[in-house]
Amino acid sequence: MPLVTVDGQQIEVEPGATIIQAADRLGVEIPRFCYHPDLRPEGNCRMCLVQVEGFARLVVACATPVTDGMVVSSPHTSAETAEAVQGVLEFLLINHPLDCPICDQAGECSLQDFYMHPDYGLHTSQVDVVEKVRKRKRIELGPRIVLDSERCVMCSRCVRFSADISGLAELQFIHRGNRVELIAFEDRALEDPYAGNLADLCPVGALTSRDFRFRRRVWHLAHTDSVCAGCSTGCNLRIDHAENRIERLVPRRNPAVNSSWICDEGRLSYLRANGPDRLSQPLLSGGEEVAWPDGIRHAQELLATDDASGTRPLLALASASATNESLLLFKHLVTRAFPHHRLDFRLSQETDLVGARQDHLLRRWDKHPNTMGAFYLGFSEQPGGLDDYLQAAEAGDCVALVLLYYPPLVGDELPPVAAALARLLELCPHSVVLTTHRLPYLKGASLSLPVAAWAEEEGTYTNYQGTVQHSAKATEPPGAAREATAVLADLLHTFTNHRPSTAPEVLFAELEHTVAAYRGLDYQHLPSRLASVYPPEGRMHYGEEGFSGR
Amino acid sequence: MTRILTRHTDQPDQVQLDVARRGGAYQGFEAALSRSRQEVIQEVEASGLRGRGGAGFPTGRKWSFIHPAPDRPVYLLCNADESEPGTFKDHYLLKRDPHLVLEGIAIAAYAIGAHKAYLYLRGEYASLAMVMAGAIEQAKAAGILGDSCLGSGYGLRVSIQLGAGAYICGEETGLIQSLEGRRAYPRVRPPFPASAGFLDQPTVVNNVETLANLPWIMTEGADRYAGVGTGRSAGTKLVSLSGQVSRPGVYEVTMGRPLLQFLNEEGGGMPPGRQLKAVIPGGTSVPILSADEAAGVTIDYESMQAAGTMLGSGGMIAFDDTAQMPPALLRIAEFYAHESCGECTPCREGTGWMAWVLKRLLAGEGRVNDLDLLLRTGDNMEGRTICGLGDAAVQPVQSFIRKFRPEFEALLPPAPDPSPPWQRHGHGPRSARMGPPAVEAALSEPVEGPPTASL
Amino acid sequence: MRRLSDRALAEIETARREEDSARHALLTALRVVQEERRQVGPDEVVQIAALLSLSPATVEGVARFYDQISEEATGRQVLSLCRGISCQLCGADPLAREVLDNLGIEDGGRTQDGSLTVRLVECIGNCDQAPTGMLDTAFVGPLTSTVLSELLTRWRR
Repeated sequence: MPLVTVDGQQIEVEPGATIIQAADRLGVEIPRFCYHPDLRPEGNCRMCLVQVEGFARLVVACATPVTDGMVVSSPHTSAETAEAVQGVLEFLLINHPLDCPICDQAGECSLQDFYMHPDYGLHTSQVDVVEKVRKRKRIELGPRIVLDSERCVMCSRCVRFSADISGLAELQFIHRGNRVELIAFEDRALEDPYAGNLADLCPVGALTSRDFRFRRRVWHLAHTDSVCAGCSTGCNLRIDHAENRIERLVPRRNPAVNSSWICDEGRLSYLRANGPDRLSQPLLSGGEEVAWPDGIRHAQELLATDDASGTRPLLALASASATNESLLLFKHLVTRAFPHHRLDFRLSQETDLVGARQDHLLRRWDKHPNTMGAFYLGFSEQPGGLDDYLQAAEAGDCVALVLLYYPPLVGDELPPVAAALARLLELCPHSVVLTTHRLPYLKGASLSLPVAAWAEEEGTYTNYQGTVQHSAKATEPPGAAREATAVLADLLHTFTNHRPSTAPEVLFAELEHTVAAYRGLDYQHLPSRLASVYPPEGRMHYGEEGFSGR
Repeated sequence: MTRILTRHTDQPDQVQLDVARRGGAYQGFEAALSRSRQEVIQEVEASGLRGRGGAGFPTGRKWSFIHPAPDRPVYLLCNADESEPGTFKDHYLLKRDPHLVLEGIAIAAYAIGAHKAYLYLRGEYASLAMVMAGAIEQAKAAGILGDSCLGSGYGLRVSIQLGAGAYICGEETGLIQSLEGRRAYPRVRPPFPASAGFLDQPTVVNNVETLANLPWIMTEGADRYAGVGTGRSAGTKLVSLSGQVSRPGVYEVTMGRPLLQFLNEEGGGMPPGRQLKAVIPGGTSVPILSADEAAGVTIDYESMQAAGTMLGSGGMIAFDDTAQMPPALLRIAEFYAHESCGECTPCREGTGWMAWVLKRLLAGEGRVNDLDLLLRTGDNMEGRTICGLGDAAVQPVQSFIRKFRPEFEALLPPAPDPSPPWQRHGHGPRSARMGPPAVEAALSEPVEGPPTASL
Repeated sequence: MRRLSDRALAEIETARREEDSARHALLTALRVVQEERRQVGPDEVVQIAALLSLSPATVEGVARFYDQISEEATGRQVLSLCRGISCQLCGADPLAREVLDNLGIEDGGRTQDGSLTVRLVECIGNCDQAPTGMLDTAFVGPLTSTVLSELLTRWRR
């Protein structure tokens, strides 16, 4: 293994690793525009020039493989390197419009950050430009992206993403020299369902997000690391929020799950949680809103059935959008309080679709983030699922229904599922629904209890690969809505006189103890991949794993 | 002198295969085919032949980096994108002895184990594509090229690709990108073309003139070739002579020939009544030599290097004493700004910037520190770009300004008088009487500070 | 959109068959279409993209890289006047000015009847004939006022 020294620190790297990879692992900052860990290196920006002992010229850290014994100096320690980087910055500013005050990238702009850097920043420039090369501004490339080609530093990250990752090759440079300009052919709207990534990739303000543009200055945002709940892939992302509102979602790199990307649907999934149709108070079927103590009391009355013969079961269904922790308490409630019950999570074809790809990149057809979690918790039996419940209810074989339901964050509920849910609620004599939104197809519930949506509660999801990941809390649920675990704990207390802990780490520890697949996992060290991944019965199609570019 | 490259270029109908064969064409290829490819590589390494495109890299060594593998086709790309200003030697060879070039291609392809070769011809040489296509057809029909070249069992196909007007396609990775149908953005190395070149396969890119040396080396032997020329500059060099000189043209020169002697004898000296002022010896990408500097220089790699310049492409451009250096430099700087591919930052911005500063200087709008700014801009580019074009663009700018500075200084505005305004000439006693308080009064209005650089 | 001629399509197909790479045929396709249509504008870009299964942006990016591929249609003939340094030293600048002024056009412009485009181009590698140029693909030079006006007179006929 080659051993390399960067600014006096040593690290061993695998053969073929580049200087910038070694520096990144050491935590030595190397400025860069064009380098991106998930794009092929192009070496065009020249910001990552470093000095290597014994080399006559500076080399680019992004494309120079480490050789054993290499001694590297970054612009933090080498004056020659710092001067070179300053030179590059000076060149970049010759034709840059310097419109930071009205640029939405300000605050997270690499050009701005590098310019201000104490070690290699450029504080004066001898370049006095009267005439800059003018290029086109404010070109809307479809619903996601705005292009300002004057601000472009020609790093080609977007071009490489479009050609190599999404594969549509919708962006290219035209012309040569300092007339080079980024274009989409005839300014056509980008068709890429991953176009939102272009704004994240762009190190400057050339490609910005139409959704987020001018909504807030980035320095006013708080950041919470989490995972997407839009489908079974579980892309890692960061929730940017302020004043209890989510303002945007941006991808977080995880090479094993989503590389550095998320799809546009997932990126906009927060809009559903921010929406106006949230359920914020316990709600009786007549439309009367009640306070929580009354809500819990109503639930007790509705579910404490007097079916003396005990032949008709309680139907319990928790969708696979619930966290593992909520599912655990839901299972406790059902199994401990209702000796005669049926328990399931399947609204539709989750088990068939959990691994099925919707495209070559990240999207999967199963729009539930925790199908594998529900599966491992034993939420399914044969026969089962919503259709089977419906048949039972049609036959009168149901005493009551308890439902923990989250509408999909990506797309609408499948019409057959919505219809089946509505019919089920109609048929069941009593029903208690824990959910996040006022949904027309759940109107038939005897009682609706408002619960926190994704990003309003902490917990874990198990993605299609069997990777257990944290979903974090970024904002408070609206009105009186509470975390599902808290509501379930109340119900458990009401029915069993025992109040479980709702602390996610405690619940996870119980999962670790009681569910074989989770043995050995530690809540503090997630994400973790389950050792035995795939489904014993082989009923589910396990799609091709992970991420692959075109 | 020994003629290696131009033995037959004056032969009428040399483009016809039978004529060319009567002069010995394809005997070198035949000789190569009778040996193993390793032996051919060794022979060429021993000859001391160096790349004639400009960089001067030893040809045999370049070939030795190729490791053919059964599943990886090897490509030979003949670089006929001749675009270095002042260079037209490949034009001359392709037009007058196409079979010599084709034979060179065949020998090189055999040596590196390639069964496919491309002749990448600059778009402006479309008329030469006809000549070369004819030569290829004749060679194919005669069994020299094809599935079994000259009956040897070795197969080779040669195709022509015309470019479409871009200097950067002469850079070897730019050429590869262009041939692949991409913007001709040079590739960052490693990987080198020898391991991942055209279509990511092992590839050698050789210049036309380089390849044209091979038939002679094969028939006459490495030793004889190494004996021509001087030291580490073996063989002969085609010099493209142009500019202000009596007999411009392409001349084959034995390495080591004194530059001025060449200019005066082959080149016929300066136009009547003029004196040599300067000469660019190897295309615009190498530093210019003043007439004094040129006096001691011989035409070979070492002497050029010792004089602070390079043999380059051998594109020799003469400037007589009527030449004005600032407009000449502007023209050269505009060339690089026009041709910079725009891929990497220092070259994309630096070439445009240098041309822009020179332009304002010539328009009488220069700034006092513009010459230093130009020199410093060059320092910020040199050695920091993906390919050689950045360095190339810097050489003329820095060498012209350093060697002919007074001509450029004459264009500068007068330096600002460092003395306080009230002491300056013409203000006399009145200014003195005003003294500092008046200055303070003049400044009592709000004054804008120096423009602070900000984003 | 006008269909490309069979000859053009065949030439592109030949280039495509050279390698197992449609992309490799792009440069040839651009040249062939430029020759046939005297331009590679948006319509041509779309046609080439469809032919080679490339995105229009990809084709546009490559087309706009090369000097000899033009977005706007050129005249039936193109006169390229070299402005390389060797030609400049031999008096190319005033000569070019004279030609452009006589025709009443600027660099890259087309004569009113649309028949001739005049371009000032970088060194074309014919420096011993400086000041030199090309009429379409034929090299001409050394150019003088007389030679050029003779050339233009012949061309006008």
